[in-house]
Amino acid sequence: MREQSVEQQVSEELTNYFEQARQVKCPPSMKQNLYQHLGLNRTYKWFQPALAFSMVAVCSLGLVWHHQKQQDQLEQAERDMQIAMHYMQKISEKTLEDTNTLGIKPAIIVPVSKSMAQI
Amino acid sequence: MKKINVIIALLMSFQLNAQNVLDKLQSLIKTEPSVEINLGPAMLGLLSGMTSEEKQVSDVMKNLTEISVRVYHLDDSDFKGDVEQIKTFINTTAAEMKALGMEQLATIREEDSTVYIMAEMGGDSMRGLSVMSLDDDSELVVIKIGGQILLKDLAGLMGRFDVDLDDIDLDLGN
Repeated sequence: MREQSVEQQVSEELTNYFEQARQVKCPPSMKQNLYQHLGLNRTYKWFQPALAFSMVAVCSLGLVWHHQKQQDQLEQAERDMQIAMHYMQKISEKTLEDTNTLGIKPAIIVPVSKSMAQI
Repeated sequence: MKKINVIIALLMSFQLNAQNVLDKLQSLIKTEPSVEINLGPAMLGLLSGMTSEEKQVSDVMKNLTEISVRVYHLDDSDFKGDVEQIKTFINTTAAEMKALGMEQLATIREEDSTVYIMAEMGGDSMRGLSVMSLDDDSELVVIKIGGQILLKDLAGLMGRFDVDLDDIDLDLGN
């Protein structure tokens, strides 16, 4: 009779304990770790490729933007160079055509003339 | 006495760097330039890379460190300076450059035109070229090219890049 009541008491205590334990919610990190441990982490499976794709997209956009910026700079630089050389040309032609010999060093003007003749 | 001369020459060279000349000119003319171009080593390096297929042009560009251009239209209503004062400034600056050892490559002194082409020589090649041109008392052009330059290379560069400015979509204030 007494043995039976002890068994019943133990059984009740255990039932209570597991009932309480069942009602306590598992912390998300523990849940995540458990899923991961069991290979059931579905979030992990879709998240990784999406992250990789986003990274690739951001890098590509960055590269395109950098390339475009460099292209714009190049176009601007070429235009500046064209304007600079236009004025050089204009002055060089003047030096050769409208020269007042008083101010010119003959030994040096010869290579200048030769170089201009190549144009 | 020698020391004093060296100090004076150093001071003059410090005072007469290209940027200083351009700044002085700016304050004398009291108007903004119609064309202002500043190509530094980075931009010239980019251009050199762009023209790598044209090896000769690319090689010339590699040796350049600076191209600066200023163009002022003196017949504009904005211009409030004195043309005679500008002429004097150009003549004085050229004389100072010459005194500092720069070669005077070419000069035109006419009633309506003053042009100086000054070169800083280093061995067989030029280390810098400065051009000051006042044309018809209406257009002042100042060009400074820095870096190692050979005259024949310069001609190639002009041939490669010179275009009719009308083809360029740019308001030059003409």
